[in-house]
Amino acid sequence: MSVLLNKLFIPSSVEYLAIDAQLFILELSAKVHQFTDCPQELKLGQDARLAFPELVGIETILQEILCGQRSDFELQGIARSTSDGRTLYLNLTCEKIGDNLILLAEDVTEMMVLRQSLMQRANEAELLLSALTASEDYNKKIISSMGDALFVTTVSGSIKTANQAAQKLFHYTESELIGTSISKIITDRDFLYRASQQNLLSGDFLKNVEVLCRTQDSQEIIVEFSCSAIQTTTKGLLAFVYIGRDITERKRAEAETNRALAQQKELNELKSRFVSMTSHEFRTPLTSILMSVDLLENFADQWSETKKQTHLQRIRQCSLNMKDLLEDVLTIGRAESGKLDFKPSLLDPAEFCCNLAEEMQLTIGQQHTIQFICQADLIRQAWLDEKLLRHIFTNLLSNAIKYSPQGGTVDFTLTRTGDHLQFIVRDHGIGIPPDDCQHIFDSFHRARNVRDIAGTGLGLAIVKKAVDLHRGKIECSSTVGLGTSFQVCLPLTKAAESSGLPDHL
Amino acid sequence: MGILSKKLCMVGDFGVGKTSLIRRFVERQFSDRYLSTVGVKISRKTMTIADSERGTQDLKLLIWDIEGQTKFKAIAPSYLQGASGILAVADLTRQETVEHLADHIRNFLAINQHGFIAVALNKADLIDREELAQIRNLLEQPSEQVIGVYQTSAKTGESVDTIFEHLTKRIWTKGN
Ligand SMILES: Nc1nc2c(ncn2[C@@H]2O[C@H](COP(=O)(O)OP(=O)(O)OP(=O)(O)O)[C@@H](O)[C@H]2O)c(=O)[nH]1
Ligand SMILES: [Mg+2]
Repeated sequence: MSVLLNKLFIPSSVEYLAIDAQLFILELSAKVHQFTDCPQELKLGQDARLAFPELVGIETILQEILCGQRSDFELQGIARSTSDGRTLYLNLTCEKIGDNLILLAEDVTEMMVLRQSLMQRANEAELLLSALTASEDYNKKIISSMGDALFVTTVSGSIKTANQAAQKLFHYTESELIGTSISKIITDRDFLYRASQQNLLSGDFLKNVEVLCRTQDSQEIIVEFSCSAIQTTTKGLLAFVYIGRDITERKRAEAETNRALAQQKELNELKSRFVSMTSHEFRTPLTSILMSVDLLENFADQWSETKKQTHLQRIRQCSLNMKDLLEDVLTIGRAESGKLDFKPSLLDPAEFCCNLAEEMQLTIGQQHTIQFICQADLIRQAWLDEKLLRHIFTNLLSNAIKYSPQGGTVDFTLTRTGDHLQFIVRDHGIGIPPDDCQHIFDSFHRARNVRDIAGTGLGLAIVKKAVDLHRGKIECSSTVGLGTSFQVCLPLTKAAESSGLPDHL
Repeated sequence: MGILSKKLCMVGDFGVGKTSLIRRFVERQFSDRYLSTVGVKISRKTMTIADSERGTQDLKLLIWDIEGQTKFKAIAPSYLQGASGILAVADLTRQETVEHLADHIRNFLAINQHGFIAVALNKADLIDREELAQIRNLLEQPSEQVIGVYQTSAKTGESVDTIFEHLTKRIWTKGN
């Protein structure tokens, strides 16, 4: 009994299997075996799901077909491995026939193999593309996140790539950089020339060269650049990769260190000058004192009163010298450590100068004259620190006298220029050699032509500090053998007071 | 039909490693060569599962290796009919395949709302642990039918047996 009496409508390329509602095999076509991977299970009365596992799970669908709720069910492109290792593809369709189901299997291998080769190519290309995109993304991210500036240029130096760090360092946007010449950034022609002379063969590259660069806002910065040639995708065409690191900061730090070192060195020199000065300046009066004391001890009873007085006088004078010296040392020490205060008060500058000149005239002999000249209509009140003023002008006037060993007049003039008071102390003494001029305000520095004129080298240093505290200026002009002139300019405004100490003190 | 048979489907974008995961699970092998699957290929594997309440049971798995989804072709819904569960597979090195997981899961649940889903984030051998954590954040809040998210590697075998075992066991104990 055949369920498929009218199987004529089945084309010859299609094999079939007739099954009942319980999925048991009722009938099979001659070559349907080739479409199962379990031929031994393919026999009449057997559960069709053993030979055609595709039916597992769709039992309800098959029942729907039997009940007429659904016309058919199709699965396309089922792959089977054949016994000779090939792959065979089939389309499986299930339809109702009478009270039973028929499973139709059509060989679609040829079509599917073709489809496979197309899919293979398409998918491989897609995978490659995605891998490339991923790695390009990755490289881009690396390039844009690197802290060093990166440029890629053509052989002629036109910028093709500039990363974020480069844009930031040179203050350009990306679009401003692309297409412009690298020479706009790197101003060092020699470096650019050497960079362009590189080739692929040499293998080596310019490494960590410090070059001067210019930012968009014309700032000059020092960048440490490395440059190498790379092969572009076009064979034979080179590109240049520049990687640069801003070392302006490092250079600044280096300079600072050097400055600190120099300062340290200066300080050391200062110390040794101090030691040699003190040993000399203290020893001389001390020796005199000790000598006078010795003499007094041994010969006082044989000496006349006047002679004794001479020695006592010498002891007093030497002690006073040492006291002055000690005071100078203390003052400069206070100034150096920023402890010298600026405490201005309203005072009459002309009266102050006039008094000081008179006071000093009393202590010096007839040999020298201090001549004070003052502008007639000078203001009567100015914010000045009397103590500091005293430091300035006792030192300048006593220097003027000290370094005019042949005697003469010292001019002390006071005028007003704008909002400044100008003091000039001029002598006609030995002068200061040009080489020493720039050092005269350093502590313990003494010009080479002082010979045996006693001095500590502290006076002018104190003067300078006191002028600085007033936010004033001091200048010196001198000709050896003709004399020296110091001009002190002090501001009249009270600004000096409110701005406090100059910060470098 | 003697022992119990269950249909499982591998779904996901092309090239994520569906075929490789089956190959690792069934044949204990791996190949670096890529051969795109067209249509569908069924593999069989019998598993013995044990449960403290139900005892042990042999289960015949019919694992459907389905042609991966491409830009041009979606997964044919007819393949998913009657599946008790799916392995939704993504390639950890291709973010878009992870993003597509939610679609694959939705499509399956539209056909079989009681089916179970195990998510395989495959090629775990190619990626750093930190990156992994980041990618897992991409995943949508899983549906209650999703039994778990596994980092797998068909290459090293990492979590391959586990993901199949967990899915099968859940199908057996709670399944339809
Ligand atoms: N490193 C690594 N490679 C894998 C892994 N799984 C698969 N691959 C590779 O990924 C490529 C694709 O693997 P398949 O298993 O063919 O991918 P598929 O999902 O079946 O692809 P279609 O059949 O096109 O959908 C192959 O080259 C595999 O070797 C894995 O876990 N780690
Ligand atoms: Mg595959």
